[in-house]
Amino acid sequence: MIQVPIPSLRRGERDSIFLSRSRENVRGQFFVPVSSQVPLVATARSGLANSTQSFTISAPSDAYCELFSLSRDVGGVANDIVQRTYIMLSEYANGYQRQLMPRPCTAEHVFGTGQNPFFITDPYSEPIMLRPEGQLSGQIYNTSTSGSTSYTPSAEGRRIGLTALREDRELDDGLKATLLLRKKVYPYWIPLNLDVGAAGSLLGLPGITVPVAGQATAQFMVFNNKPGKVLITRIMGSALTAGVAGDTTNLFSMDLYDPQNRKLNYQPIIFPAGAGPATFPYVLPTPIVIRSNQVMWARLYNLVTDATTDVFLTLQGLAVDDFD
Amino acid sequence: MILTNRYVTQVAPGKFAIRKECDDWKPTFLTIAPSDQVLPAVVPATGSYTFNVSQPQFDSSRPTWVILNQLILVDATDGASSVFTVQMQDNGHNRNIVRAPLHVKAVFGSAQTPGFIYEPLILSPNSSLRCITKKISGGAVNIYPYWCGYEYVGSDIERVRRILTERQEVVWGYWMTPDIDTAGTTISLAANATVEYITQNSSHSFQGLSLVGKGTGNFSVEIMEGRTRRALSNGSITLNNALGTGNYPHKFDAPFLIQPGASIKWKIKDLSGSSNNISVGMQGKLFNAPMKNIPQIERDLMIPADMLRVF
Repeated sequence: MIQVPIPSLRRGERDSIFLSRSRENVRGQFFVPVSSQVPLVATARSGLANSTQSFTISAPSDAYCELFSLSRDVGGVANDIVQRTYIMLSEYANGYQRQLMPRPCTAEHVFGTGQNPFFITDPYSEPIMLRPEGQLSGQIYNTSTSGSTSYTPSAEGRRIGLTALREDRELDDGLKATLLLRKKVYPYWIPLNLDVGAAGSLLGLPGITVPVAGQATAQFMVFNNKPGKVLITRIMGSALTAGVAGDTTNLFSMDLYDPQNRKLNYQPIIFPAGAGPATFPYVLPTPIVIRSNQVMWARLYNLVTDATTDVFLTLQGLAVDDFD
Repeated sequence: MILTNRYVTQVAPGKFAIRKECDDWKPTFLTIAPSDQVLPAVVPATGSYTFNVSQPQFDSSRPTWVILNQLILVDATDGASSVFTVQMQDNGHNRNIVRAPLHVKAVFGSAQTPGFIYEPLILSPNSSLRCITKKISGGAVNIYPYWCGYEYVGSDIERVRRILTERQEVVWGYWMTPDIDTAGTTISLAANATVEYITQNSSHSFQGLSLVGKGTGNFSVEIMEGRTRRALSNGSITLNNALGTGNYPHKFDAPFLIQPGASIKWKIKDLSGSSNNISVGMQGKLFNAPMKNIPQIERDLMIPADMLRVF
């Protein structure tokens, strides 16, 4: 008999985090790094050296924890610093270690705000699952030369106490099936993987510089080097430019191609129409499957007439490890 | 086999697979054909701009079906000058989707929060969608409109054709509006003025599911269905407390039903104390059937889950 995993929560069902099974030992909770780690203050980049800070969100020793949403408190810093702050998330959770992204990703595409957190499970993905004493660890990279950043990440989720599992056989069975699912299916972010390489740009980190407008274009590829598949359900994007006042606010447009090299759009998709930040990502009407060793690519068009544009794009969804 | 979620299926204890249907559909962003107008399109200051949205013929030898359920609009000045109306027609079925022109913000949304259609719009091969835009005020505006959804790229085209054609003959998304007579703009009210419209429903049953509207300033509206004399409210409801927009419509807890052939009374009053350009509509579904048959239609002509992904 196949045991049924406990359903994960979605945005519209958020209230039930705090009502889950109406048991004291199954309840909603905010999770933050230990107080000695926050706020994470990463100083401005100096030369080619990025400033890095680490943090850890830990599950208690007496409960399993599912993290459904991610949010952050960022100090009042310039947009350039916010956009050029990257994060790398890893799980030390279920008896193994795995990365939730192949490379550091713009933090604004991972964390939402208090009002609009990045809801991992909405419309669909699996939450991050931590066993007792499991850890979600992250590294923050400040690649901006404009100043330091102050960052406090947090997560909201459901805590399932070991006491509850001992008392409730049905819940215990459900959790076993849930752990099985989460071991192989987990949220995944794929940022751009083109390194621009020029001094002062995004050396060694994802990002792309689109040349000055006209018909200037740049291309990028996303390569799935995992042994399993990735389902892309959301597109997140942001951009920085030094364009003069009065220039277009839409910054760039893009052609998207799926792994079968099928074009997804009729005319180039203007940036605000095809991507959003973590608070409101663009939700694809149907997922794109990127199998192992497949690539997905795009062509970007700079619409700013007098300056280059730095584009940050992230494909987000879930990874399914190699099980058919 | 137990479905653990929409796309990942548990096929055996510890075995998970991505559902095959994920490979049969791909996302699609439809807009104006580039042969007609390379984006941005321009809604002129005077007169109207009409364009067609059809399937891109990337491969003309292979007909495909497209299901559209997201409406996204961006203008070149970050939304500040999107002051125009929009009316849509399904050319394949020669029917209106928006009864009379509605403010674009009452229909379209953004990528972050798209506008949506309660009954997805199905574009069969060689059919198209006509869109008529007209400025309410101000100068010309550059726009980037997109209709997003998913396109069938699998091999079982006959099954898809059968299911979609049967369904779209009977039910389609619709915006019910007052029949304004000003040739494609909004209801123009003088300060503190009141106007009443009587709209005659067609021979179809309408299931109203949300209320949308937009005005230069605040206004109130009362809506009553003539045949059953059911009112939507026990008094006037205002733009600011009861009407939503394309991306955030005010959804009803239960559908507001309008019988075939029934009249609908719209009583609209300006509350801003100034001249007011008003646009108001009720978004829902139109059924080519008596009201009592709707549950059976929803049951018998249900689009399978693998073909309908509305989040």
